[in-house]
Amino acid sequence: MAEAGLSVPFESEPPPSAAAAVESPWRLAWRRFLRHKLALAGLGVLAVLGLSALLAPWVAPYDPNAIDLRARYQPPSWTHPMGTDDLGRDMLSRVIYGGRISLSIGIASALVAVLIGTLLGAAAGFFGRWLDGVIMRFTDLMLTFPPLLLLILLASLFGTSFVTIVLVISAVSWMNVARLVRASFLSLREQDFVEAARALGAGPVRLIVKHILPNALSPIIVAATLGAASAILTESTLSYLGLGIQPPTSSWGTMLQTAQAQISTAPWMSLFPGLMIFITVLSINFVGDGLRDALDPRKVV
Amino acid sequence: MLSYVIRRLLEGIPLLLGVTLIVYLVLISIPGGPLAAYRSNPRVRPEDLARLEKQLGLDQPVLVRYATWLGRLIQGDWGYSYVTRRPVLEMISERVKNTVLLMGVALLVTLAVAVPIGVYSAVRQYSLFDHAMTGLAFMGYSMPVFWLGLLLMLLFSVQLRWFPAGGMFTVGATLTGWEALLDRLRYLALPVLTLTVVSTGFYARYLRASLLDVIHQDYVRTAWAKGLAERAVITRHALRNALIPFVTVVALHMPQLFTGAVVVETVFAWPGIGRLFWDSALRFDYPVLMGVLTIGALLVWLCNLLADVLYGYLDPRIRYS
Amino acid sequence: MKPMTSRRGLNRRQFLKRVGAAAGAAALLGPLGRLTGYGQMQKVVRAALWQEPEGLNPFFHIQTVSRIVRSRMLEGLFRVAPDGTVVPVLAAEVPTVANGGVSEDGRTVTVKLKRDVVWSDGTPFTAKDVVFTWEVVMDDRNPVASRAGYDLIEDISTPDDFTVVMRFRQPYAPYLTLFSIRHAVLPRHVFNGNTDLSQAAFNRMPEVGTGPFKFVRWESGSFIELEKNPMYRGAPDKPRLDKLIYTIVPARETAIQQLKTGQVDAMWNLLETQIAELQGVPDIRLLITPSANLEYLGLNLSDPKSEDPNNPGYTDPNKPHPILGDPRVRRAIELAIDKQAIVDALFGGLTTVAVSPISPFHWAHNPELKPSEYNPEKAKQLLEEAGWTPGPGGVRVKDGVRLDLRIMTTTGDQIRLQTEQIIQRYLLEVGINLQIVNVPSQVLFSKSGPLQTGDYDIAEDTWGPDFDPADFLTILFHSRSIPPNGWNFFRINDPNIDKHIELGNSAIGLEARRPHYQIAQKLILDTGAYIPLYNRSLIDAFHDHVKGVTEGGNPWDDFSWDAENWDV
Repeated sequence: MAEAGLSVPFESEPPPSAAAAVESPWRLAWRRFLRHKLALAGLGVLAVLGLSALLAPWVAPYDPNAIDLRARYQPPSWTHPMGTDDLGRDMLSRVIYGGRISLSIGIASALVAVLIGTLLGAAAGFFGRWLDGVIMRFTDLMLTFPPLLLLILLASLFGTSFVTIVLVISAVSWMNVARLVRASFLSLREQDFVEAARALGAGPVRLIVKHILPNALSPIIVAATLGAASAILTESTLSYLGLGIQPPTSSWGTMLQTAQAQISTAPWMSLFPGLMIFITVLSINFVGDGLRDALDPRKVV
Repeated sequence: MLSYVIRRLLEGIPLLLGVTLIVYLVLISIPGGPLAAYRSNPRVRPEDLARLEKQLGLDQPVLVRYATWLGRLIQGDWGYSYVTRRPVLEMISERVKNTVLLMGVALLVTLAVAVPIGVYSAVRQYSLFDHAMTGLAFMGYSMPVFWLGLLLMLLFSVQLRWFPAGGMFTVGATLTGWEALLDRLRYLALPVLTLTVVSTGFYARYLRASLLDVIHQDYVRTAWAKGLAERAVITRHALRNALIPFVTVVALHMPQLFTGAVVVETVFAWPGIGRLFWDSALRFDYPVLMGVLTIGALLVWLCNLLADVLYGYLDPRIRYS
Repeated sequence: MKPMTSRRGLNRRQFLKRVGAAAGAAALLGPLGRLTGYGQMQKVVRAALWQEPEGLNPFFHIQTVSRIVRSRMLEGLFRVAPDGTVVPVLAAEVPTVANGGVSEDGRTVTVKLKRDVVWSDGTPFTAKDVVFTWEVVMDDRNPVASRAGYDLIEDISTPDDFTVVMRFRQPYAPYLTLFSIRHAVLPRHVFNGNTDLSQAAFNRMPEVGTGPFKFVRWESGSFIELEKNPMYRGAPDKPRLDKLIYTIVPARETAIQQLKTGQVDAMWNLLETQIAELQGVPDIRLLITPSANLEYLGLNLSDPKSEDPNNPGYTDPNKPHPILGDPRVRRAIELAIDKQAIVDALFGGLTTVAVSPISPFHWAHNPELKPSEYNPEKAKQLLEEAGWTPGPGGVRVKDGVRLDLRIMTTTGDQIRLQTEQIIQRYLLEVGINLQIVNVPSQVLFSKSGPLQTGDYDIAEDTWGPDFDPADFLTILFHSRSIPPNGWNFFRINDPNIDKHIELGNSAIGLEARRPHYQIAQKLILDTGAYIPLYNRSLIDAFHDHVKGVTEGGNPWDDFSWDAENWDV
């Protein structure tokens, strides 16, 4: 059962069947992506959220950390569209700035996880032999930990700064990428075009980067996208357990955690951060789904 | 097949040893330690701390402590909790039945909902139903679990008064038989609903994808072409094959029946393993943490093996050597 | 059947089936009001605790919830009444020098015991039980949390079954805390005199006690059930309840909802921020009791970058902090904080500004101490005098160094995090930049944590004395307790403070001790390293149908201290 999306990352699809090379695959994929309405909508929502996070200083109506003790717990109004929080700070501004943290954690965690997974998976799949053995045993070992329990331990060990949270989340989520990449590499490295390049004298780095990786990219992209969604959820779980980002900086997860105490008296304090997490994760998942449909060669009829 | 299983079992031994060693090292590196709770109490003086440290064996070098733990484990002794001073295995077994009950019911309900949805959306790919179900499925697993749980509780317990707000049974009531069962179901309802909402989407989507994969394959097309009824094609040909990866993915999630769900157990005051782990983590109760993690890892590994074996058993194309 | 219709038919049938099942289930489960199945026959109160006790042995577990539950079953010689006076429980009277219970030299304490007390299994309670308890505390096999005081006892004798004579190696002023208040007396006969309790079932199931309730069962992670002790001194009138059940509800939010739905009848220890959730809810009343704990800022007097040659890894208490080492800066920080505004905003008048490490209702409190003034102008002036001049971004500068300080507290306490952020704003107004770096409490207080090693500037924390402040004042402010030897993490080193703490700790009788502690409080505040912020409260909630709860609670005890008087 997927709690906080922890078991969702990266393994949510059956392994792709044999790859089939088609003409101008990326354009074809893009056209297919455009047909996926939910994915398009998701992309639109993400664009808006991403822009507002980037442009937070210009978009946010107030200083997100400006305390006004006379304006605590104000329900949504024209002056404060999302109300104010326990210290009279404007919720809308905090949600916009919180988006910076949450989105960055999502993206950074997914990137780091994919980077680790790709490096290890590529090395294992390409070089094989003892290296493959060592890397895959290590991957198995990491997969043997119950993920949420491991997450709690690592977060307690490394603390609650932005960087450590990103590293901890990626530390528990790179394994399936590694497996995925290794599998693609194992099948790709024996293919004719790789053999040809090898015969022409290409070194291992060139072979990996120029020839094999581009052909193994589709599942990686999908995994990265879905990974960002689950990282945002994972961060909110960490916040719930008190292992999230510390104030005055707030992610949506920490805002949601603080708001719990006032869930009936100031419901807007938990409603908006919760909705933002929900909408963002949903949009990313739609985009991921769209990408999968678009990039998966099986769907070619 | 048998030799494959035996080889995998043997491979598991160093793997599990590695797991326990890593966990041990991580645990003792976390700042704090089992005496942290005593430390800020003015009555517990430095001399008291030194005495307690010695009693718990915390004055020993780390590797000696690990070796002692491992040595006892091999003799079947899981040690005693630093906090409650009770046998670790006893503490775990008290909670295990609760976790299995919660997670097991949740898994059954989830599958009961996810399988029909998955099949139907695959068969009617891109239909209104498929789109609606895709949307709902994604919504379910896009929500922070504690938020969802709290919202459900506010709605169903506080507003509607349908279900109790957390707990496992009516405390103080002496219920038997049918009444006791009903009582238990009432308390199960909300945590199970929460878990179902967040995980149905995953299983439904997975099954849909596997089924789509199969539907487009030749033998299914042949079955269509032979003019077999849709229901027969789906159940007799497509579903049977699509279930192979599906069953294995369910098997891979079986360890959660043991490790539980920290967040749901906390929100709904369900006395399961997840909470035992979290409470023990807060108090640096190394023996209990080691116990839960080791059993958890053992189960993950066994279920992986089970999934592989199942896959090989169900899919005649795969042969293990 | 054609595929189309078959599909539709199937679909509708399934749909109807599902709706029917759902409706059936709802009917079976039914609406939930006051729970049924008990209550007509028995008087039961269910009280939610957000933590599960570690165990119920009074000497092994210092955790508050452990004490709450076991105090209903195991009693001590004395307890503290709501007005702060010590009253006898198992003892017949409180020994003092005046009544001859304490010798002139303070080394011999004689306790007379009540004669009519029986354990819940009918065995009479005698002086032997007290002696046995002491032997348990001193047995090396037992994981006793603290032997403070017990290890000063040279011997205990029992001239008769109802008299205990304790002879101390040196005068021990907090003698009233022994076998009392935080501790209790254990039943000797249950263990046949065997003092090794390290694996005793009693630690979890104390089936024999002298208190109003007795142990029934403990369902791990779920609840601990107690029932009326028919052998209790107050029987048959007391206790009025048949059962008192402590339930374990780890999330306070959940317990609040359970209180609203009537699933529990009382709830222990709400957060200040949760008061609003229950205020004005019909049928629920809050019990707000002042607590001896108070919120304060601790300022580091030592240079965080220095190292003590005698204690590697710890700062050198003789090397002053580059910024906070100047008393004018410390004074400026206190002047810049509007404590009253914080109290008004965050607590809506439910608490008061703190003036001393010892709260106003404590017998050792110094009533002459007044709240510090809020005067940002004077603060700025002091900073100017100290050489800190306005710099870019509103942050002051001296010799090219910015007035940057780190503030640190534990994660997870919402009201504390709010306070921290408000203080950050106040200090920025006078030109001090605070950076918030919070850590979990187990890290803050760990052996290698920032307070111990001295790698911090300002810490925000809650702490307060027990009924007897001796341990608290010593471990926090005596120069002997500078880390690694205690919790004087400010690194206050003032022989005058040491002297008055010691005099207060050794004089016999509260009247004789009080003046020394009062002087010590004044001196501690004068250092400027300890800035009291506000007094904290204990907040508990009850359903209106729980009757007999003492108005105002007991600051020295827990919310269920008077459960023997409760009724439903």
